[in-house]
Amino acid sequence: MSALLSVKDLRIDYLTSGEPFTAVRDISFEIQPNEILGLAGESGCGKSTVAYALMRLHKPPALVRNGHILFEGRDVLSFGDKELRAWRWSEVSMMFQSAMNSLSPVMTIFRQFYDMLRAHGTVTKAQAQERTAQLLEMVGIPADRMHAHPHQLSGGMRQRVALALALTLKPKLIIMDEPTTALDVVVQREILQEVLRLKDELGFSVLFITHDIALMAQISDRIGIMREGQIVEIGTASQIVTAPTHDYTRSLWDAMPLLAQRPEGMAHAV
Amino acid sequence: MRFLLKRLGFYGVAFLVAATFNFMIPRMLPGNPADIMLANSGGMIAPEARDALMATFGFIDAPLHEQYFAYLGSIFTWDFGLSIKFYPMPVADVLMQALPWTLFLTGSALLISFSIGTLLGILAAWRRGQLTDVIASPTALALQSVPAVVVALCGLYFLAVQNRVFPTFYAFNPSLDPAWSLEFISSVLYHGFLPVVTLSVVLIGGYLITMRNNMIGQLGEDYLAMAEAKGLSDARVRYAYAARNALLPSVTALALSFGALFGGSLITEVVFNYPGVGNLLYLGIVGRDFPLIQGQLLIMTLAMLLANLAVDLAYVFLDPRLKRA
Amino acid sequence: MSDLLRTFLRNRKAAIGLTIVLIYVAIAIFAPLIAPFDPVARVGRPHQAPSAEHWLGTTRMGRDVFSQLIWGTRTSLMVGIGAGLIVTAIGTAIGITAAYFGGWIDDALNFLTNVVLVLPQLPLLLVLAAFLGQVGPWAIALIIGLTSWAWGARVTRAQAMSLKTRDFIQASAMIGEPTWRMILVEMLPNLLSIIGFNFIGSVIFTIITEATLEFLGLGSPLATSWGTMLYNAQTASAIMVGAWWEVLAPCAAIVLIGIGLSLMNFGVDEIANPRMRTLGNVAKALRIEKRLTRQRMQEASQ
Repeated sequence: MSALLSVKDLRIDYLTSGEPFTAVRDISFEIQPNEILGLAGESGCGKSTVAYALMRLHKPPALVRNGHILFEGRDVLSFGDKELRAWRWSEVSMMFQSAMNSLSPVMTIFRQFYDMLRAHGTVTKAQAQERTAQLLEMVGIPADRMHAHPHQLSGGMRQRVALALALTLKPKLIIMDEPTTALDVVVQREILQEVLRLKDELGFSVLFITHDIALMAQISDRIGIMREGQIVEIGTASQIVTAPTHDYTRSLWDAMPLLAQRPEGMAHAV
Repeated sequence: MRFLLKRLGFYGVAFLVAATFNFMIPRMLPGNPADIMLANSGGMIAPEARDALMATFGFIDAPLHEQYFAYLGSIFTWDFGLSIKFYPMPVADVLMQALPWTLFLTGSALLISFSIGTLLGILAAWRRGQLTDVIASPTALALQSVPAVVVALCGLYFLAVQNRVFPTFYAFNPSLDPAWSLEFISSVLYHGFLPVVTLSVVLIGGYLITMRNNMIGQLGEDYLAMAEAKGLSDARVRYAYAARNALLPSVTALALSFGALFGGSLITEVVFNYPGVGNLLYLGIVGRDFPLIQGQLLIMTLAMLLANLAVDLAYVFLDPRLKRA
Repeated sequence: MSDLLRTFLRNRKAAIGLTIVLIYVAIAIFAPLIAPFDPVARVGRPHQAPSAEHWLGTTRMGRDVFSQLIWGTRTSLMVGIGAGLIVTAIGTAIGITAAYFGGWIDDALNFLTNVVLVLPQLPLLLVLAAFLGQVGPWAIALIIGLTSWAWGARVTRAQAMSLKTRDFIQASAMIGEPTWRMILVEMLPNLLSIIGFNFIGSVIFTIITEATLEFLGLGSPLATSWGTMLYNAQTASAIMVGAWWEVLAPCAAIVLIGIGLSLMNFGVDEIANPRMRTLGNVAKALRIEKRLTRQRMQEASQ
C-alpha cells in the first residue's frame, strides 16, 4: 500500500540577524491511509513547525530550505497558488490548539463554514446551511448554534466546531496540533473519542501532535519521537511504549511518574 | 445597551465640565469680569453691550450657585448670549452659520484620511518589510512630525500663492449665492480642496500607523492560519479575517484622534481663512469677543462628544462580543 | 541600564534620531556663539531674500532670520522639553497610581483621564490663553503640560496593569515590601521603555502645540521662538508677498526635530517590541521561499 503522505529530507530554517536557525533537520516519515501517527516531543523540538509546513502555512522568517512533501505522489512544495488553495482543506485539513483562537471572533459559526464551501465550489446559501447543519449534528452540536458567535460557545463545543470544519470537505488527512491541550480532561476524552469514531466511519488519517506522550500512546497507531529538529525514533505504538530503543525515548517514559506498574500494550486503551 | 447608557452619562458629565470651565474662568480673574472684558476690548464694546455681556455670563446679582444654575439654564436653552464682534447677533446664530463649513471640512478630511490611511496600513502590514511597507511607513512617520500649521502654510504657499492654482480664502466664490446649483457646488469644492487635502495629510499618517500596528498584532493568531488553511484567497484572509479584527482597536484609536481632528481643522481654517467655527474662535480671540469664544468652546465640545458617541455606536455594531443587550 | 543604552544606540534609526536631536541641543546651548546678529535688532532691509550676508534673509522688520532661528531653538527646545517633562511626570504618576492601587482610586483617575481626553484640547487652550492674555513661553509650557498628560497616563496605566500581574510583583507584595519601594524599585524600572516612549512623544507634541499657540498670537511678542517667528511672518503677510524664507525656516526647524524625535521613538519601539525587529528577515525569507517554489514548480512540470 503506497503511503498517503511521504515526507523526505525536510529541512526548515528560521532566518535570524545572525546564522539561520535550523528548526527541522532533514526529517523523513510516512503516513499511511487511515492511520494515526503521533508526533511527540518537548516544546521547541520542531513538531509544530513540521505540522504547519505540511500545508505550507509556515510564515517567514521560516522557510523550507530543502526536501519533499509528497501527498499521493505529488510534491506539495511545488504547487502553484491556485493548486495549493484547491488542495488545502479538501485533501488535508487542520485542527489548532485553541479553538477560541482558531475561530474568528467577529464571524458567526455558519459564516466560517460558508466562505470555505464557497472557496471550494459553488454553493447556494441554503445548500451551505444544510451542509453546516449536517456537520454540526455529526459532532453533537445542535444545528441552530450555527448563527452564534464563537464566544457564545463553551471550549469543548468550539473544538467540536473545529472538528466539524476540519471534516467538511472529507479530507484524507487531518493534522491536529495539540488539539486538546487547552481543554480539561473530561472534554479531552470526549473529543478524542469523537475523532476515533468519525475516523472509523468516514476514513481518514491523523497526524497527532502533542507533548503529552501518555495521551498519544492511547490513541496512535504509530509514534514518532522528535528532538531538536530530528526524529530520533519512529515505530508502532506498542513498540515505542514497551520497548523503546533510543535513550531519549526511554528518558521520556522515565520522566513520567507512575501510579502502578505500566501494563503491556497501552495503545487503543480508550 | 447598558454600555451606551454609561457612555451617555459620561459625556453628559464631560459637557458639564466644559460648561463649568467656561463659568469659572472669567470669575477667577480679580475684579468684575465684565469690566475686565470691557477694558480688554480696547473700546470695541459699546457700553450698551455691557449689560448684554453681563447677562451672558450669568452675572445677575445673586449668590454664586444661583449664577451657576442660571448659566447652565441658558446653555441648555441654546442661549450663548450676544456676540460683541457681530453685535447684536446672538452667538448661537453666528456659530450656526459657520458650523456647516467646519463639518464639511472635518467630515471630508476624516473620511479621506481614515479610509486611505487604514487601507494603506493594511497593505503595509501584510507586506511588511517589502516595498509597500518600506515606502509607506517612514512616510507616515515623517508626516506625523509635521504640524498642521506647517502643512497648511506650505500648501497655501505652493499651491495658492506661488502658483495660483487654488484660492486663498473663503468657502466659495463670494459673488455667488448659496444654492444647490452645479456652479455653487463646484465653487465650494474648489475652495474647499486645499483645506480638506491639508487636513487629510495631517491625519493620514496616524491612521496608517495605527492600522499597521494593529494588523501586525493579529499576524501570529491561529484564526489567520486556519483561514489560510481553509484554502481561502489571500485577499479574503487579509480583509475579512485580519483587517476585520484589527479594525476594532483602530476604531478605538479613531475616537482618540478627534482632538487632533478638531485642533487641526482650527489651524487649517485660520490659515486658509475658511469660515468655520475654528476661524471664528480665532477671530473672537483677536477681537476679544468673549461670549463668542466661550460659545465656540461649548460647540466644539459638543461636536467632540457626539463624534465619540458615534464611534461608540460603531463599536457596538462591529464587535459581537458587546452586542449583549 | 548601560546595556539598554548600548542596544538603543546600535539601532540605526535611534542613532540617527539622537544625532539630530543632539545637534539641536548644541545649537541651543551655543546660540550666542553661532548667531551672527542680535535676533531682535534691525540689521538689514525688510524682506530681503537669502544672501551671503543674511543666510536666511530678513523679516519685514529687517531682522536676520537665521539669527532668529538659532535663538529660537533655545526657547522652543526649552519649552518643549520642559512641558514634555511635566506631561510625562503627571501622566506616569497617574498611570502607575491607578494601576497599582486599583479599586476606586483607579475608577476615579480613569474617569478624570477620560474626561480630559474627550474635551477638545486646542480650543480649551485657546480659551484659557485668551483670558490670560499674551503669556511668555514658560506659562505656555505650564498650561500645555497641565492639559496634555491624559494619553500618556492611559498608556502607562495599561502597561503597569500587565506588570502588576507578573509573579515578581506579587511575590514582593507577599513579603511585605512597602508601597513606595514597590513602585519605585520594582515597577518603575520595568516601565522605562514606555515612559521613554511617552516622553519623546510628549516633546514632539509640546513643541508643535507651543508653535501653534504662538502662531495664533497667544505668545509673548517679546520672545523669540519658532512659533513667534511664524506669527510675525503671518501678520506681515510673508507668504502673500512671497517672502517664503520667513515662513520656511521655522517650519523646517520644527519638522526636522520632529523627525529626529520620531526616529528615536521608532528605535525605542523596535527594542521594546521584538516583533518589529525581525522585519528584514521576514522580507528576506519571503524572497528566498518564492524563488525556491518557482524552482520546484519548474522541476515538477518536467
